[in-house]
Amino acid sequence: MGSFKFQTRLTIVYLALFFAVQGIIILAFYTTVYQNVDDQVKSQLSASAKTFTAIVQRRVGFLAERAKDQARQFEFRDTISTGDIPTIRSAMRNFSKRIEADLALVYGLDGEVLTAVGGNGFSDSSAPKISLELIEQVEAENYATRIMELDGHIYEVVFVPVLAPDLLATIAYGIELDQVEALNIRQLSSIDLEIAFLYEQDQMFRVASATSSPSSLSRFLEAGMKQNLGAVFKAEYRGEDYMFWRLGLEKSVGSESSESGIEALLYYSIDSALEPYLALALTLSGVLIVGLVMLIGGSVVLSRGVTRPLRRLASATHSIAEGDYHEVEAPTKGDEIADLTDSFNRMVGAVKERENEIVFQAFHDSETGFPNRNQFEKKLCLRIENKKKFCMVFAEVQQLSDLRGVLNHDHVNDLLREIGERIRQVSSVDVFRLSTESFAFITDDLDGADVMASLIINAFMTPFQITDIVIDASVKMGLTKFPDDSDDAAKLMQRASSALDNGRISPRGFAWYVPEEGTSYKQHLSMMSDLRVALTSGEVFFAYQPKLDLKSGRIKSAEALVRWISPTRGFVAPDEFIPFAEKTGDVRHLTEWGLKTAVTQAADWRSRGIEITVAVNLSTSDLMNANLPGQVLKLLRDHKLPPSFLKLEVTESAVMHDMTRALEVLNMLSAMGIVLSIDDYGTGYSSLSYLKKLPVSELKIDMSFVRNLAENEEDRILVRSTIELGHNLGLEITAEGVENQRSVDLLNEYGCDTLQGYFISKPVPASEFEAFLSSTKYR
Amino acid sequence: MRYFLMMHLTCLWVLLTISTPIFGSEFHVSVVDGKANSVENAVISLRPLFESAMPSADNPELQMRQEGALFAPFVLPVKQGSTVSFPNFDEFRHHVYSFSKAKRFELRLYGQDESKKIHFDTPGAVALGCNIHDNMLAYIYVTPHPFFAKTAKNGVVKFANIPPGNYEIYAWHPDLKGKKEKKITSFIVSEGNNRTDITLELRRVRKKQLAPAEDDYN
Repeated sequence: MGSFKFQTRLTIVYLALFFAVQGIIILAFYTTVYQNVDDQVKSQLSASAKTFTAIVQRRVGFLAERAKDQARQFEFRDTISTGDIPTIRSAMRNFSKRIEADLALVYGLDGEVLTAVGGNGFSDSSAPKISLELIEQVEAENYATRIMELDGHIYEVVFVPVLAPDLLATIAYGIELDQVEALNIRQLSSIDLEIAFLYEQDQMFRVASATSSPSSLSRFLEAGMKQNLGAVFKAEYRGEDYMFWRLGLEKSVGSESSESGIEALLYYSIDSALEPYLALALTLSGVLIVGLVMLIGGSVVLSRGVTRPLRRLASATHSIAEGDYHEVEAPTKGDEIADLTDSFNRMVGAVKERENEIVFQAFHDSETGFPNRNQFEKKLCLRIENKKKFCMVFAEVQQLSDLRGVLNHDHVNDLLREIGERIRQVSSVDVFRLSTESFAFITDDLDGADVMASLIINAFMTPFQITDIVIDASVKMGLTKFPDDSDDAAKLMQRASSALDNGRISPRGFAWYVPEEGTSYKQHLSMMSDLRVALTSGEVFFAYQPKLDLKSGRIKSAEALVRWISPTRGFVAPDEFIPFAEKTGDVRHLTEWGLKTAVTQAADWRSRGIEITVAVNLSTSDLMNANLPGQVLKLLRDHKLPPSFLKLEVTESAVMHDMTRALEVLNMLSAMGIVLSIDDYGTGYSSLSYLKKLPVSELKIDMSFVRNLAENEEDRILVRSTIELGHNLGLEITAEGVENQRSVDLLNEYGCDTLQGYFISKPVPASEFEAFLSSTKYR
Repeated sequence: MRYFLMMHLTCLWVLLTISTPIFGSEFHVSVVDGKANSVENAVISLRPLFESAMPSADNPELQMRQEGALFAPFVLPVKQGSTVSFPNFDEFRHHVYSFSKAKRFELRLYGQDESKKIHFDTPGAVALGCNIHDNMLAYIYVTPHPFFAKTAKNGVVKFANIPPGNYEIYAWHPDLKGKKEKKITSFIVSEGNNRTDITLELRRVRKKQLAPAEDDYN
């Protein structure tokens, strides 16, 4: 198939579009939600950081106020001024408990620790000193705060001066930023964030305390420190995405100079922030899946709605191709499919109609409406298959070409229809129009066929009336028998044509097929091909029959008669091959050969002092050949033969076949100075009227009139009157078939100009002809 | 005109000479801080490094007044062994105290009618405060040396009629870093006018007596 089916393609396109749109939606959703959550977490962390700072500041402020109060107490100042460390320490312990501090320190004016209390058990000596700058700041601003890391604990420490009124000492109270503190701060946040307090040591962040699992955070930070972490960063922690917010706290007391710092780390799991969106994502996924299912279903239904009727149309076209015309029902109304189905049905109807028309035309004659040759052949085949005896008749309308000259086209068709109808009425069987001029029918009544044929001929005694014109028409018929004549349709038809040929000349107007007559077409064809070879190989030659000029008593001319002695066929009579050569057109080659041979021979003789005019017979098709005069002229010129040495003989029927064209050729030949003669005069039309039109100068009376001239009175009258008539028309008369002295005498008496016949000489080859000339008395 | 001027100057010199009873030396000490600003309230004391007749120990009445919830003066240099009275000019009472090593004392609430006196025999700075007025602050500087004075606003202190000779000079100021006097071990004061500049390293944040809360006046 190569390409996808429409349905699949449609579904794929829909799916692709769906996925593209949904992809964009999901991407937008994901981006928006993620960005949103990101921003939310960030802002929450930021808010929490601010809260954290505020809380720490408030606590420190509170602590500072308390510490200030304490430092102002006269008794306390008194105690400090005594420098009595145990007393001072106990006072500090007492106060630190009172103000809930985790750490209490007293510093001397030089920043040395005077005493230290609390702070997860560090001693006076291990507690960090403070700088003079800090003391100065404390004195100037009345308090100061610092973040301190002591032994892994982070304290927010407030420093307050003890003034008396000059600075006596600096006291410090600290609250530890421990897990409890972290949890307290977390409680104030709207999200469940995590807080850790970190301090830096050896360039590593250590976790002082955290809301949860400080050890895992510590490990995470250890790994994370390798990268340079920003103030806000995202990282995977404990298998979830976390957002971290680093909040730098004030610098430690102990490490004032170094860059190491103490930080609060606020972090929150983005995944848990995304949790509320999970339901939304699930809903969206659900919508996607439902949408997908609906889309697939919908596109399948839709495409089926399109493809099903299309498939139905496709299968309908298949059945139409097989000749089954049926209409397709439209599945819906008013849409494109319905339109298409409608058009399709109309097309089916039109095709059906046209096919019927074509079928009718294929089997009927358009001019007369009779079933035509196709149908006849079909019927003939059926009858042959039946193997029952029947008689097939061809009936040819006579002189139709003449009638066409009188009647117009429609009238001819009307006439033909009438003729066909008349045949049908008489034969009472279906009549078919076989060709322009012929009809055919088949009858089972073999015995009555003769009578039927006669009846048909008789039926044409009544003239036809076409509009106002009364027309006489006649038919000639050829009859064949199945299976006696042939059991093959084509052969049978050939036999019928052959019978028709006989019928034409039969006085009854019809004839049965006579088996011997038919020389097979194939035989003729092979003869023709042999003839073509024979023309060049010398098998074909001319025999020359002398013609005696009575006035001079000399042989002045000769008729060239073709002879064919084939090595395989033996002697082939001209009557056997010339008519067929005329049919196949091979006579053209024969004529070419004949003219050339005759002219060559005449020229040869002339060069040798033998002045003989050579006569060559032309066929019907030669007279239709407008190039003939040119060819003849060329030959004469080539051989420098004067035209008077060439005579061309034509038969009446050859001229009558198409007189107009024949006249053109004859006139041209005559104009060239060639003598033309009418051959076989008396056998054809023998109409004197056309003789006037022909540019001939000689008439040759057919030998059938001359042969029995001595015995037959009628022939004598005919010959004598013909000679007289011819002479009156200015024609020379040649008599053929002169076989005895009596005929010579009679013809001489009648004034005949030239004699030709066995009495003088039979046709002989050129050499013998020359010998004859040298020996004869007619020389 | 020139003559007149000469006369005038001569007369001035005569006058000055006459007013100097025994000794002829005058000593100006100018005190500046690290930024060359004049330092007020610096106490300069001179210890002669030669045997001489000490000036008579006349004890003028020394006062550290309390007025408008303020001590006055802010710095009071006194000779070792002096007695300072603490008169209260306010309508309300004061509770003056000192936790300084040189003199720890406490004058419990007293009013105008009561006159309190404190004897200072230990040299050193005594920071004074009032237990009921945190803003009040003053210093009494007790010196064992015969010549002492505090700098005026222009940072200059003048010693007149001191015997010429070699002196140790001590300088003290409430804001002096390290809480120790600055000591110049030897300075020859000659006849006539002498002067020297002393630079004191003072703390960035200066101590001062702040104005009391307004309510305190009434």
